[in-house]
Amino acid sequence: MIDLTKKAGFGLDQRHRAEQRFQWAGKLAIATSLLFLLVMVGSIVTDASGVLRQTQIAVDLDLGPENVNPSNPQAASYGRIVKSSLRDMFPEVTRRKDKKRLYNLVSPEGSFEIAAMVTDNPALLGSVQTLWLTASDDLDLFLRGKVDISLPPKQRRISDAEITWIKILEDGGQLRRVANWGFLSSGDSREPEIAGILSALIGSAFSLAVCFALSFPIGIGAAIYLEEFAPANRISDLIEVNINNLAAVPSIVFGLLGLSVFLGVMGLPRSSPLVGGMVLALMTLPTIIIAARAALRSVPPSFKEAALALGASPVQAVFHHVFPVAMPGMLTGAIVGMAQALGETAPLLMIGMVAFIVDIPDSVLEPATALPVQIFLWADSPERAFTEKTAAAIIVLLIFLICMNLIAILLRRKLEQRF
Amino acid sequence: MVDPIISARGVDIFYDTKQALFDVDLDILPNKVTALIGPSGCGKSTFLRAINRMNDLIPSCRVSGSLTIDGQDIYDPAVDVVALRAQVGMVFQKPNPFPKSIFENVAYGLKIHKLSPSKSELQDRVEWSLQNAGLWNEVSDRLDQPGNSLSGGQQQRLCIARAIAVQPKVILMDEPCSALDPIATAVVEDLIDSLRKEYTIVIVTHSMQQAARISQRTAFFHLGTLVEFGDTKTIFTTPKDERTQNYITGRIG
Amino acid sequence: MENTHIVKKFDKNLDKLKARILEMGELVLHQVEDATAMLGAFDPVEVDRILQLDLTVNGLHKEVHDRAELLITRRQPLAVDLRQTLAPINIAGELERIGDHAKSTAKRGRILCRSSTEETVLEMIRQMSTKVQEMLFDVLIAYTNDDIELAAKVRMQDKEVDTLNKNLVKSVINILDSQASGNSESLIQLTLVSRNFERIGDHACNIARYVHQISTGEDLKASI
Repeated sequence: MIDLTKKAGFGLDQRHRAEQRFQWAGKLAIATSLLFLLVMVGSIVTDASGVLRQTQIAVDLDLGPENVNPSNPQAASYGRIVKSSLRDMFPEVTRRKDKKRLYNLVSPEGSFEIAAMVTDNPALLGSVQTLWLTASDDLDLFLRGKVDISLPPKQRRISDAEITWIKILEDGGQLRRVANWGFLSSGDSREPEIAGILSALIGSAFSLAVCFALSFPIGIGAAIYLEEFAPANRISDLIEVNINNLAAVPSIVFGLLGLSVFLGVMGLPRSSPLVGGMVLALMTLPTIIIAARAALRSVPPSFKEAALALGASPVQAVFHHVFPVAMPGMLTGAIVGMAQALGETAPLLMIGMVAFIVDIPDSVLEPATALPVQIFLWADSPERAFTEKTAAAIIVLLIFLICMNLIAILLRRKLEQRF
Repeated sequence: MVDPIISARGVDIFYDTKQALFDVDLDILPNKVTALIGPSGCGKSTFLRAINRMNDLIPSCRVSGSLTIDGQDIYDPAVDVVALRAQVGMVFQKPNPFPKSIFENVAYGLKIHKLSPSKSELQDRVEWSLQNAGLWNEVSDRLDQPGNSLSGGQQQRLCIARAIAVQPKVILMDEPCSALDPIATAVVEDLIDSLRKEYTIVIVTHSMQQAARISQRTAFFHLGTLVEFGDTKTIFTTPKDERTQNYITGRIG
Repeated sequence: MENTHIVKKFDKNLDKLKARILEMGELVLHQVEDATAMLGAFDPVEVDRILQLDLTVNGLHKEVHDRAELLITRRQPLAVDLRQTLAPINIAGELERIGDHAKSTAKRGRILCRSSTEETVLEMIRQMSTKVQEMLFDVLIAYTNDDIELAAKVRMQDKEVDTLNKNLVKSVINILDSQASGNSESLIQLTLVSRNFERIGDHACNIARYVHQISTGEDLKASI
């Protein structure tokens, strides 16, 4: 009688246990990595949630002709108007030090906001207007309960007096919280409550566009030549080894190269996405070439053979039959390279894309910064509110990445041919 | 006696220093099916691929001796390999339609050689090719579907249609039925027999029965030499060389 | 063939086919010998045995046919193998016919024993019988060893049998012409028996042709 049960021997028990152990180890590994991911995303999202809304403060401003010259509203000192309005709201504040704290309730950028509003709507001029101005980051943090009031006043950024004023303002309905579109629509600023991501986003987009435009055609071209046409000799071997090595070179080295060649020798504009993109392209090229060659190698040689046997020239055979089949694979490689480039900071630091840039760049030649550099800058800033900005910028970076991958997947699906 | 269309005289083929074919003399007659048989590694495929210079793809491959088609040396420097392959089509062991539509598969050769200037002419040629490959009735209503949606046998006939679309003089077939079931094989064999009227066919096959069924002339290769070449009937009934006898009867030689 | 097949079973199948033919040949040879003996000394039991033997021969004929059929289906033999498979079908047919002739000879022995027989004619028949038995034996040896020369010798011997037959017919005619003998029936029967042996010779000769064909692939039916 043939024993088909577990007792049949063959070390079955041990083998089954080994199998179980391995499966559990695998599940544990996945669970751990999921947990890490969850913690990471969770902490970033919680940190970033503060950026969604901003606090505004209602101030009665005297925009009469004695303060603002109607023919030249830009020349007026709106800062002074704001300060006097604040003084009017809290007449009991007399000490200079306290006054300074009082002015600090409104963001230092408040004066620019008024100027912008006045330019948009000149009808505001000539009388007293109640306008909503962005509150300072300290006020915002306090309102959201991020300031530990139990600490002694010296150790916190907001004094007891300020807390009283805020309470009064709150009771008077002079504080409100609104969606913070400014984060997505404005450039960087020294003031965290005003600082936005747009210039970095545009800078990154420009850099990546330059990077893609350079590295994709060059990389694919190099891969096709090396894989399909290059004669198999010493030189080809040497090139292959070097490409593989280049992929492992630290990115800062490419930054140095960009600094000395693109900026130094070629004299291209410093801090520009053009140079950034060129440096990133250098860095991405080996990745794209290696991935593209792998994609080309995975195309069944029978297609090329069939085309050649029909009398197609080698170039026709490759471009009509090998290239289209390899295209999705090459695209994947390119996207991996692009994603790497998107997250790269070091080489951009070398070519000056780390500068403080408020203006949103209009072309690849204007100075700009990039998302990871912006994150680095904000993380480096002392103001507490910048922590939130940092987290929010990371989320923007991740969304940018996901969008890129999405486009890649859609393109793949469109190009993919079943064979 | 008809003049041979392909004629090999003293052909040696080397891969680097290793000689794969030794001093082969072979005449292939027009409008006949010539079968090349022999054990694996005997050089029959090497010889087949030398006829349309598919060997060029292997950098280490070197051909010496004279191999002529219609009197012209295939390996003459003046010969354009693209022109040669337009005249000498090839069908491979595994059906390898392009990952394109059935129509595009057949039209490809016509397009690259610019053989059909107008669209209607192209359509006519594609239909003609598919009809001659015995595939038209099966695919006429789905020409826009991918070539690899067909069955294995249909795919192989599609490859034959693709090869005959450019109207070559010679069609080389490298074990065209080895991946097909017996029914599909029978259909392809029948097709090969009918194509013989228009084309010269050289076929490499491992199936002795197939060689016996479809060919008029058979060449037996062994260890890189052409051992015996003659009428298929003679080779399979009364081979002269003992090596041939041992091979076709499955004996230890 | 000194070379063995890669498929060992193939060789075994062919050997078995050959063995059946030889078995059949041996039986038929005995049939001829025994039937000849019946001409002089009739024994009804022995005749029945000879007739019975014919059924065995027919059975072997069928077996050879079946084996050959199976072998073709399984191995799809080519060249010499194909001839080694096909020839036994024909050889078995020839042997079966020889058996029939032996049977017919034995039956005629029954009629011959009723009247006196002409001893000289009978002697000629015995001579013929010996000759064809010799041919049959030789052709079986030739078949066993693929011996074309021996087969050729057998084919030449057929002429001798023909001559013997012609002589016998001549002498019978002479006897019938010269005297109004009362044993004309036995004479005619003996002529018919002689014709049986002449046919046996022809069949042996045919087998010899097959032996030649197996080795050379050459069909001699149209020639010699």
